[in-house]
Amino acid sequence: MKVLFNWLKDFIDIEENPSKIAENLTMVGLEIEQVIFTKELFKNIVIGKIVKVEKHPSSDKLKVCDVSIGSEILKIVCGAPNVEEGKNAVLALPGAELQGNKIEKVNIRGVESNGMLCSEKDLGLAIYSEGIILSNENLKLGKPVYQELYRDLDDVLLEINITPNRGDCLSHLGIAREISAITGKKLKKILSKPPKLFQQAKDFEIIIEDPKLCSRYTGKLVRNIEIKPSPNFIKVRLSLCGMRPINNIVDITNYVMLGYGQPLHAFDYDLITDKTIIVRRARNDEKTITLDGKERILNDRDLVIADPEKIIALAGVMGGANSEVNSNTKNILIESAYFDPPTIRKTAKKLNLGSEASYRFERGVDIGNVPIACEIAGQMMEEFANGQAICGVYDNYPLPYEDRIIKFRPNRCNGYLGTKLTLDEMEKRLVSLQFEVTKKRFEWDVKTPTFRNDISIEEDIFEEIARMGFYQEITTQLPNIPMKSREDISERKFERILLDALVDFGGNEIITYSFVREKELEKIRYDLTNKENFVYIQNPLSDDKTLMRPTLIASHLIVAEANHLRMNYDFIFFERGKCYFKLNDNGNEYKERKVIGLVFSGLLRSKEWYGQEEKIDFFSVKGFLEKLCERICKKKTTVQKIEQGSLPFLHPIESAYILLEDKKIGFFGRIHPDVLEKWDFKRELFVAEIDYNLLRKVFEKKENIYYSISKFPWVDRDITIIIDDKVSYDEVMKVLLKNSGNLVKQIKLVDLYKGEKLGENKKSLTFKLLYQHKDRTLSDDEVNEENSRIAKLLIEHFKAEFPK
Amino acid sequence: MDLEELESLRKQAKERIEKINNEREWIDTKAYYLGKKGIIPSLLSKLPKLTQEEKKIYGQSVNTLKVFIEELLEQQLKTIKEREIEKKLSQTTIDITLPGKFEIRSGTVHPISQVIDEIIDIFTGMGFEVAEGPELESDYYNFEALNIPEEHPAREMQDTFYISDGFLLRTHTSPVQIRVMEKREPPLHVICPGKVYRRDSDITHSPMFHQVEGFVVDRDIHFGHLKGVLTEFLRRLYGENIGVRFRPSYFPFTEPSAEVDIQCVVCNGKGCRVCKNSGWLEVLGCGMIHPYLFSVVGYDKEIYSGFAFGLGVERLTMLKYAIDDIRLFYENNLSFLEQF
Ligand SMILES: [Zn+2]
Repeated sequence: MKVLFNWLKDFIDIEENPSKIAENLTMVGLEIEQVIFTKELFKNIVIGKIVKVEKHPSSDKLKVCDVSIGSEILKIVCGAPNVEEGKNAVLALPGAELQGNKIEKVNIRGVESNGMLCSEKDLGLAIYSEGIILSNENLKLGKPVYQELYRDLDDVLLEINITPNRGDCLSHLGIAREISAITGKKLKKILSKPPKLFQQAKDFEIIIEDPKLCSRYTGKLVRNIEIKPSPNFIKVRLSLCGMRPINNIVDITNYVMLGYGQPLHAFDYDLITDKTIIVRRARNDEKTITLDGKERILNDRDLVIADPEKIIALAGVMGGANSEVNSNTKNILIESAYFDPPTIRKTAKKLNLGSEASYRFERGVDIGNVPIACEIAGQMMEEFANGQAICGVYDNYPLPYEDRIIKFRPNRCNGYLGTKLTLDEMEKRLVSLQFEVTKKRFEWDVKTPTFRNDISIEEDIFEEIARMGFYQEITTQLPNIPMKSREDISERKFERILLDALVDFGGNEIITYSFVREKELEKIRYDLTNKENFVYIQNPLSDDKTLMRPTLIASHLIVAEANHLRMNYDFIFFERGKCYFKLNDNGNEYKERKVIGLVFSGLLRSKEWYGQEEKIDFFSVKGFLEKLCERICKKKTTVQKIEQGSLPFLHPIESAYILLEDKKIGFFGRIHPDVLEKWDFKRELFVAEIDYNLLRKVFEKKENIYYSISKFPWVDRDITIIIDDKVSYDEVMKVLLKNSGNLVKQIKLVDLYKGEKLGENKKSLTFKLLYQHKDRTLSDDEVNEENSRIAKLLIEHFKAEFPK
Repeated sequence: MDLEELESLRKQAKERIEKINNEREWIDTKAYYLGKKGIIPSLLSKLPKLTQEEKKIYGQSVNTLKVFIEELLEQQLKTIKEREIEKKLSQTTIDITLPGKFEIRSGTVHPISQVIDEIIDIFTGMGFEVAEGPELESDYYNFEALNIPEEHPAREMQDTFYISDGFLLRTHTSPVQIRVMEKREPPLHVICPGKVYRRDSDITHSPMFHQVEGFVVDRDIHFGHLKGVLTEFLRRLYGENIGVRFRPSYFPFTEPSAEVDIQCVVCNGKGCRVCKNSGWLEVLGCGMIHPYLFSVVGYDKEIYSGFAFGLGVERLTMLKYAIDDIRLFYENNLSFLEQF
């Protein structure tokens, strides 16, 4: 919210400078976001006298004026119809800024113009101007406009971030109250005497159908008003506070709202049928046209102001077009009311009609201030619209405010805050905030002022006391945290080991959004047929259907594509993220599955001065995952073929499930060529996804039992066999492992060869076997014998042959 | 006999020996002086012709010269050998400035993860434990139980993504507070890191971002403890001398509530663009846990009290690395990631 320092001074004397006040307000919870010296916004705008007006040589509509700013006379081109010799005007010189437009020297159809003569609209002081500002007053030429014609432009604007609980601070009066509590200065009296309240009015009638939705409604009639522009101080103050000046009546309602916090509405009295106002719920599907010309369809949760024939306003939100103040308006009925905050909020939100008024009603206005604001507006309309206000305020108050008295224990307050405040100090602070305190021995009665509807429990009072000390006397202290067994140790450990391994293997961690567009999943051929399994977002940011992702693959391809576009081709990205599923149709049970997603692109090793480049392929991805699982779980993985079509984004041949302890924990493979076609990748891509919790389970079972290390030397022997190409490495390995006996410590495939020499559908495999005995040195003979036994066994088992 | 001759011989020998460059020359020189027909033996051959007195003096002098020459030769031989090794080595060159070739690909941890880990380390170091909660959350846990009823204006502070009637993407990590308190009894010292979602997207807002929630519930916990724990945390994160300030604010689930500012890390509190000239940067929100929450989970507020805090990881990370656009975190450009 924006408040003006000089306007605040209408409510309270302030000795401190604006920056001190700003600092103190921040420290009591009204955060000052910005302090603006408003004259800075009107730099290079000065008073000038139009000394000569001539026709523009090449335009009928334009004039060329000589404008004196005292020290010199400037040529200014002006298109305003009312430009007139001998009058004072407002001149924006080069360097000035008008509503965001920079003024510069310009050449207008061959004539140089050294600035611009301004209208009120140009200065932001009117929404419409017929011509430039002209004045007959005796003004000092060349002086800034904020010193001569619009002195109120020289002010200090505080931009305050008001938290949603502090509806009472949404006005100059409210901020002045806080300043009063800080500085101890008393507030000035608003009215010399309170307005006379009437329960019945002669000239109109107000009926409240549901007092819960409108517990107080006041009205005041002002006759024979004259619609015209507001005086300068109103225009300037409204404009600086961000509201457009319109006409005196509308401006006065806004001025009272910004000044006193009470939103008002001005009805054209003569447009109200039977002079009867009915505050009621709308009927279902009832329609009305609001001030902005739009038709609104309502229901019985909306509160409206109506006359016997029609809706004339949406209560607290917006007026109706049919009762709007217009240039013919003669008589005004001022509305000042208290509406139920949730009701206003619902309507404003539903119709997307947030306004300064609804903003305040939603946060709760001061019910005690309702008739006062009404009276002030009436008085201002007398003064600035030449109206005749009918004496007093009509007050329909069916549900009177009940005093709120809160039990307060000073001892508990100090205990809760960790302070040692004296009773006197506590009382002083509460009183300065206009609480009424009745002191008793252990428990005080604290009565809240009507404007503080945010205070309802004892702890709220604690905060009031604490904030008045800027939270500074609260001593900093560390609590005693007992040693205890923690439930999170094992997961934290797994997290760390996993992360270290992924990074050590060259992975760059990425974090992507948990939601994907449906069309992005379609781009990876993801099966979305069973919509009920997926978590769709009802109100996504864009128009595209968006869901919580069931796989990380799509998100990772997006990242890969973007990186390829930026010419980053070689990477291993990983993410620890979640996949999301709906468990039932009602949408009240969901599953979040943690996974580790990976995407591999480009080169495993680039070309170096000592070696050739190496591309990432199926086996480098497999190796990555094997080593990852081995490092984390100390266990070997196996693979299994993926059934046709079950993971349609993967290549049908170069893909596999990965298993730990015979349980599928994830999959990996090359991206399917059909998927590749839909993207713009510049390199080959592989992806993988591993279930976090399945991996973690194996990790937690990990048993590392030490085995004794043999002191005796090892020897190795090779076995080479030529075998049918269809026989997999795994099959051969299984036979080898099963039959290799106690002496074999390690078996490794060291060569794989296919070629014409061997004949079609044949391959040669060479294994290196490592022999070692734990208690003695092996002799050459026994190793040779054992090795040829194993070799023969393989030959027989697979009908293989030895190389010739 | 002429002792002066010996002296000149000595000088001559020193000069000659020190000029020797290779072994060949050295052998020749050694023979020249010490060989059978060398200078020293020839000098000694003159001895018999001398008187007893002369023999003694002259003999001693020649001997001294001999020792001198021997030592000098020995020394020179060493020098020659060293020079030869040096020469040999300098002939087999390598360019030590070539890039090394020990092949390990080293990756990086996302800056957001790094900061979360740092936060977790600080709090677990103080005795907190880590808890997690669901991201697909019910309206009840995300709002109702946290004292944010349906028509509360505070709901506007957090524009929400909905997934079904009554379910949404959590807008903060605070629901974990309720979930943990529901399941367990005090004392509790817990932090909950995680992803949260709000319908907002610009250079300082991301529809998904990370928060770390933390809370303590025990007997006799007061506002001073809240200040203590958070001041300690910020000092460990930003350094011992960081200025910290608590100022009143509002959250529906805490009372009293506070925002915590640190002295601007960019300008050290002097005022700059980043801190909007205030010298302070808002880094987290906190407060004493609102008694409403205790009533929801069935704790007696007359026995227990507690505090809670929530911090935005992205903001802390942006401040830490002077990053000005939050979207960089989710673009995952390799050139960005590799900087951390
Ligand atoms: Zn700064």
